[in-house]
Order: sequence, then C-alpha cells, then structure tokens
Amino acid sequence: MQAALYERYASRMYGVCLRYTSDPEEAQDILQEGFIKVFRHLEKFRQEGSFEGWIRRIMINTAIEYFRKKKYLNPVTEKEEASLESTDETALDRLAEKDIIGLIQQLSPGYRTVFNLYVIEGYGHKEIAEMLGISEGTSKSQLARAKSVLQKLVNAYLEKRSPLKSGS
Amino acid sequence: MREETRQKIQQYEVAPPPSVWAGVESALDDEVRPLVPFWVRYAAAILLLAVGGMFWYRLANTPPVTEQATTRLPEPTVAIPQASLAAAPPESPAPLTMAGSATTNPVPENNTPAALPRHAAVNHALVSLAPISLRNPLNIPAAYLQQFRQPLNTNYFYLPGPTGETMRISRKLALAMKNELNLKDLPSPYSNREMQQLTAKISSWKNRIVNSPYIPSAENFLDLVSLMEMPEDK
Repeated sequence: MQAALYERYASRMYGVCLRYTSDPEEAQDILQEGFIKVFRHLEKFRQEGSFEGWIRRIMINTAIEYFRKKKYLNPVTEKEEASLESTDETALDRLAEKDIIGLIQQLSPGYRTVFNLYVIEGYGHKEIAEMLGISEGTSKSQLARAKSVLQKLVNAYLEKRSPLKSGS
Repeated sequence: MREETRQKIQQYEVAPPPSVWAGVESALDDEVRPLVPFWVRYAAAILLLAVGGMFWYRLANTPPVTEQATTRLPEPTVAIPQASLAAAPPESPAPLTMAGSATTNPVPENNTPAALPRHAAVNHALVSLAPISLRNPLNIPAAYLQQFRQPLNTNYFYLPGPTGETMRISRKLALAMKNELNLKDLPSPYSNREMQQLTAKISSWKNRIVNSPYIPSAENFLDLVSLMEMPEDK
C-alpha cells in the first residue's frame, strides 16, 4: 500500500518540493522526510479534505522545517529591499511551468517560501504568518518584494530568450 | 498570474530518483520490524513472570529465623551419616534440660560417656561435620563475604545450614571462625587477641560438646556454641 501511495503522489510532491528549494538534492531530502511523515501519521488523516491536499501540506511543512533548521528563512537584505519595483503579474503567464519554477528557484528562500505559499498554494497572510512564525505585515512585504525580484528575473529571462528566438 | 498558470505550477510533476523511495522504505523498515520478534518478547516476558513468581513463592515459604530458634534446640532430627553411627548401638536418649535457657534431649544422669557411645558418636559426627558442611556444598564463605559487605543484622550473620535451613551465628563468633573457612583476609573489627581468645573458646566448646551427653542439632550447633558463651561470660 505504501509503495502504491508513493507511486501515485511522488512525482507531484517532488514538483512541490522543487519549488521550495533551489537544490534538487535538498528537494529529494524534503520529499523523503515528507513521505516518512505521511506513512507514520497515515491514521491521522481525517476524511475532511483531499488526501493529496493533506500530503501536500505535510510536504510544505517539512520544507519549512528544513529551511528553519538550516536558517534559510532570514529577513530580507537591504540590497533586495532597494530593488522593489512595480510588477507585471501577467509576464509569468507567458512562460512554461518548468521555466516559471526555474525562476522561482532563483528567489531567496524567504521570498520563495512566501511567494509559493501565497501565490501558488493560496494561503492567506495570516496563515503564512503562523506557519513561518512572522507577522502578517512581514508576510505581505516579503510577498511584494518576492514579486518584484521575480519580475526582474522574468524580464531578464525574456530578454535573454528573445535574441535566441529571433536568431532561430 | 492567471488561475490556469497557477494550477499548472501546482500540478507540476517530476519523477524523483529511485533513491528517495529506497530511503523512505529503509526508514520505515527500521521502525516496523522490531529487532526481536514479538514472540520472543512474549516468551521472555512469560519467563520473567515465572521466575519472579518462583522467587516470590520461595521467599514467602522460607521459615523466618526467630529468636526461639536460637534459644531452643529442636529435636535431633539431623541426618547422621551411617558411617558415623555404625559404631553406635541403637540406644535412644531421653530428653535432658541443658544449663541456661536452651533445651535438648535429656539423658539419665547416671549415664557415663562410656555408657553413651551413641551420643559421643553423634557429637563427634556433628563437630566433625560442621566445618565440612559449612564449606561444601553450601558455599558458606560466599555467604560470609556477602553478609560482611551487606549486613542483614549488626549482631548476627545468617547462613544456610547443613540441611538448607537458615542458621544464625553471632557476628563475633562468625569472624572468629573465618580461619576455618579459609577467609583469613576478611577484615575484622575485633582485635587479634580477642579473636585468638574466641578461637580457643570455640575449640574448648567443641571438646565439651563431644564429651557431653547432649545431642545438639546440626541446625543449632553454632547457636549452641553462641549460647554457651553467655553463661560463661556471667
């Protein structure tokens, strides 16, 4: 049964883990630790939500714990704060999901986590604040800065890709 | 970001390397499979209970050492080796009250040692048996050492008797007999002179017992020796 469950959800959960880290090996560590927790606490799953949602939540919590242990979830640096600018949220829609994830991975751990939790997972700032042990205001400001940095990364990526397209 | 894009990212899938499942499986195996099979653990628990029960039963059924046991000599029911009794005629002695508080089997006063060959034989046997029975097979020296390290009583040593019963012996006397038990190195709070005097007394008591008409029981032989010290001190 465990093998079947793993077979069914491992690929999607690995996709989740890859979004929360820039290193595939770290993502594999989180995935492994997450599945161990899933199987250990299988009897605690209540039929209230989807099973996939329950597993996903465990993976996300495991990732947060992992970064907390590694002290990756640090406050934003001055340099990153200064670079705050307006964002074009539709820019991401023009990219393939693999490219988007590649850009998300380039964010600092703090920005990446808040961006993932708010934009991709759909958590509110209050929940994010509780999950990360920060204030709601910090969550909001982190998200704004994450979007700003990501906008720059998208622009740079598009600029880099355009000459290739024109040349092909 | 459009909802469609968000969902695509959320549903993004990448096959993890097989090493991840191997790690999960290994971690779960360590938890699920106990080091000792469950039946071994049950068997061990039952065995422990059985041993504990037997131990408790034996403790509960061990006759306590009472003050009476040291002040009265019981019936001479000790088994005397046939070889020791071979020379003795089948004469049964009548009870006789001993000097002091101890009682034993009386013998008519007009009996002489020559007329009491059985008593003499029995007493000879007891005196000669005592050191042997103390040494083997009851491991008395070990009991000595244990009670020296962890005294059950400040005045007495409790030792297993020749027939398995509990035997009490005064601490001072016990230490005086340490040489006989090959425990010369056992430290003693008493002076060498005291010990030498007591050792000499033990020898004289043995001679007196041998030549007396009394038949001390093996269980209380050493208690008898101890008791005899009391009237002598007075």
